Amino acid sequence: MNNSLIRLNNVGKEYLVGEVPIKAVDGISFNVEPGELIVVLGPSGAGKSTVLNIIGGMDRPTSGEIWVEDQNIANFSDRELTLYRRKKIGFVFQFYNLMPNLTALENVELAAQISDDPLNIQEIMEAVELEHRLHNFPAQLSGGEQQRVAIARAVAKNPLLLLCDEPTGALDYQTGKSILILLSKVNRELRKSVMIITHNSALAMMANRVIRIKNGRVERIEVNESPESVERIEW
Amino acid sequence: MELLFRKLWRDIREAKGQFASILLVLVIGVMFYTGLNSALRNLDYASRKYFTSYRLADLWVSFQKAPENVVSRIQAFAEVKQVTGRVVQDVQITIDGQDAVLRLISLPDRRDTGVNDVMLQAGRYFSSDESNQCLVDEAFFKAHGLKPGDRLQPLISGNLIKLKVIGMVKSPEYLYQLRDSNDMVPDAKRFGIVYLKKSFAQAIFGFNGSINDASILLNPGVDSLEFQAKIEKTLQRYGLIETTLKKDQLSYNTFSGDLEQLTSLSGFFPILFLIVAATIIYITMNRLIENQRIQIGTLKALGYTNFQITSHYLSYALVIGLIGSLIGSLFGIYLGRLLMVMYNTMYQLPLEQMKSHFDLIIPASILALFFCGLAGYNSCKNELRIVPAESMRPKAPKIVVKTWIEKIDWLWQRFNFSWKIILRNLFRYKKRAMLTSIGIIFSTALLLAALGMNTSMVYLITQQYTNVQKYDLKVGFNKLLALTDINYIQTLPHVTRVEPVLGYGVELTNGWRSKKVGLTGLTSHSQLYQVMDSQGLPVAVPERGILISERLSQTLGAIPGDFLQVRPLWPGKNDDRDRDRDSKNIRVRGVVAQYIGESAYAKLNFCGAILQEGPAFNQVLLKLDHPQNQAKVIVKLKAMPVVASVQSKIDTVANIEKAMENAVFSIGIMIAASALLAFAVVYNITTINIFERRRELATLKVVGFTNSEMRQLVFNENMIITALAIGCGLFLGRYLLDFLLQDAATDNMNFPTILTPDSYILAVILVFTFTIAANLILMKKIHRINMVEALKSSE
Repeated sequence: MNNSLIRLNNVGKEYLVGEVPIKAVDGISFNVEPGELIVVLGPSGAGKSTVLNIIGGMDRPTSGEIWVEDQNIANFSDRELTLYRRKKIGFVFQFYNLMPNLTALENVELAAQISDDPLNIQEIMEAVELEHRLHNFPAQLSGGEQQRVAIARAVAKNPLLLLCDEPTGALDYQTGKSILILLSKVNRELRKSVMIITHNSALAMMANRVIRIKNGRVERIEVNESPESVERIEW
Repeated sequence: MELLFRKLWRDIREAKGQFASILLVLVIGVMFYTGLNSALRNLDYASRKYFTSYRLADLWVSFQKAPENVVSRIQAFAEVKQVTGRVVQDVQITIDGQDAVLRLISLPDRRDTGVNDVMLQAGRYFSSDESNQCLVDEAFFKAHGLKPGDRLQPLISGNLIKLKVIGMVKSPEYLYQLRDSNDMVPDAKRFGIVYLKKSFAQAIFGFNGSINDASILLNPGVDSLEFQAKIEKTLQRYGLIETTLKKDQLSYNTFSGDLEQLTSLSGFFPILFLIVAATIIYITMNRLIENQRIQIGTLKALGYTNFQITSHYLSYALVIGLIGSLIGSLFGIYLGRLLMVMYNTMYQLPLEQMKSHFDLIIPASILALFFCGLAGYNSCKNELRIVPAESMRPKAPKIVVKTWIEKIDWLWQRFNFSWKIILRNLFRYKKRAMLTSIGIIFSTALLLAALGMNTSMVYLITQQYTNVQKYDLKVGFNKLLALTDINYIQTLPHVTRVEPVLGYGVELTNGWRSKKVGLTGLTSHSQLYQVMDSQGLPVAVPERGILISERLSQTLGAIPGDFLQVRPLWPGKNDDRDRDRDSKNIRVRGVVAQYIGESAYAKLNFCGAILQEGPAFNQVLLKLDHPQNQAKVIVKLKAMPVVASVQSKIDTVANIEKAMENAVFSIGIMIAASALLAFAVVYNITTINIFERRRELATLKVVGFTNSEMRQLVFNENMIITALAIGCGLFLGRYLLDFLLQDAATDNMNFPTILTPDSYILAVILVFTFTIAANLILMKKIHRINMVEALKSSE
């Protein structure tokens, strides 16, 4: 149990809409183990992204604990959260969120330069098969290529955990598939823990563990003893 | 951080137009700051040095005649550092076919370091040869193209006396070369200062062993007012005419007034511009940062600290601040030189030591950086306060509440769809509309004020020379004449109307406040000199009592109904030692508008009565059948032995208009700057609006709106904001003009706040033209909006 990378303990998040409190996350507990690929499944509005933001130090829970290496990040100051994001977390967003006025390479460097222990950028760019597009601006890249840059950027920091929020949401089937292949490659070859949020239940087959979320609660956690390789998943 | 700098440059390049327009505003602000300040410093430095080096007097005393040994009596006072006795006399001369007045002033026969010394510009000082050597002031010397060896022949006591010009000089005593306070601007052709050997001056005026002027330099720390009273008592017996403190001396007073005006301008004007620049930078930064909120969120997600992110966005503002202040300072120093030269056409200051004050760049940069930094920091602050997860999401749409205009059903139904969008936008985003308007409000106000300054100046000249002074010629006599003497002038050909005037200096006293001004006695129902009130309506001169100008009323603290002590400054009428006996208590009957000079008015007979004379006059005003015949009449007048001077209004006006060229130049700069500002503001704001609404516009494009329909949508909204802002700007501009003109007023000149419909209309047209021009330039931005691009990405 103590080997877990991250432990969520009864995490809750309430928003006030007008005067009515709305529970986006209502007592969620699960662990993230080193090296595993987790898929978080659930319909829109179930609270998936909120959980991801809380794990990633982008938001604070209103109740519960998130233990990362014996520290409860729920009590972190803004400054500590910033350093936590910088050192431990790599984000991949649905809409890539690249800096439009930096080239592909510069976007990756942007992350690498604030990291204590960055990976070799050249190697990463080769791994995401973008070595020929280094000096292009995001606007000159296709959606798939942009998402590759985003993954390279997240990985370059050499984080503990890669958090991916609907990484294929804006991409077509084939491109989406190639992105998932890349993410599972990162998971296997670089031994990074990866957490993918999606509403596409077909992706459950690629995960070591599937966490199903509904109405802000964990509905079910499934352990997948033999994950399918992405190439063989159809949806 | 180097990467973020690269991003910064690319961001700036992407929004070239916007950055350029902000830069422009800033450059103008800094330019004014450094320009005015460097002109001010140069003037201040040069004048101080000039005054000290050539020993400008602290106190002038003029009297009828006193033996030369009075100098040693004055010197004996402990307060006196140095004193120089002189003979000073105004004489007439005809030169180049024109009449002029020469002020003859004596200088020591052999050069020494006296008070009110002269600076030799060309030629040499007096030699021991001919007694009639003279030195001529630079302005007169140049205006008449004189050269050493030329002769001047002024009329002295009825004889033409030959003077030999040996050099050109200038003096700190006549920086601003006015003969008396009735002159509005110097006229180098008609008034000159000529310096003679003291011995010669004494000889030709019958002043052997005597003087009529003492220039006194006081020891530091002496109370000059106190000493003035003391010296007046001592010299009373020599027929004291008047004593003048340095601060009241015409040239010094006008110069320090101008310097003061420049000082307050150099503080006020650029700050105003910088505030506008800061406002625009603020708006722009605000929008820029708001539009980059997802990028900010991403940087946060990557683990960039708030400090790093703030520094990045702050550097936008600082880059603009730095570049703007550098360019602005360089232009400003150039403008400063231009202003210097322009101002100095009036002053004749020695400008050899004119410096470029590059150190002014430092306060200018600090000022600019401060304003830019403040704007940048404020814009960052809000965006960084929210949690990172929040800044990753596009801003939640505002909760829609019906605006009041939508509730007026019968009205709302009448608008078509486009107008509904426009109106809803305006009413819902009041803050945005307000920020947008601030820039336009300020620039409209500045523009209106600049235009108004022009109008006010034109009004002043027209009022003074068309409606107040309706005569063509003003003739001065060297003695009092009886009213019957007027008949001869009346019979001169081409003269259609003659009115006698009695004018002389008086000292008006109200309690502890007193002022020396001219008193003008007019005939009943004068048609050639019209006194007016501040509304421009004619005022009748009362039978008894006097009218005083608004300014005089303020200076003396006297209002209609009050009594003033009036003491005539007329040779032979006030040489009594008992001041109070000459003074008469006279009631103020009214306050009138007067823009040039400070005067009091009364009936001709009443003025005579003050002098204890019967009906008499010493001037006449003439109206001619046609101004062309002026020269013929002047010849006839000059043939009369009693005529001392003839002043032509046409010449005066021409001279004033020439002098006004400088003012027109300054106002031109102000108008141009305000116009540039207005354009920059409108351009910037329209760019921001289009950029912010590109998704909305793209959607409309997808729905099938044509380009012209979309243009209408954006531009009509801009037009409405502009229209409202212009309204406020005009209102503000009026007060700004009031402030600027009050600031510009000197003892001798007083600008009325005049705003004609023309100025308002012109300001409105200009600002609208700029709005339309900016919109036209930006039209292609709307046409270029790429539907797919704009809608696909989340932001």
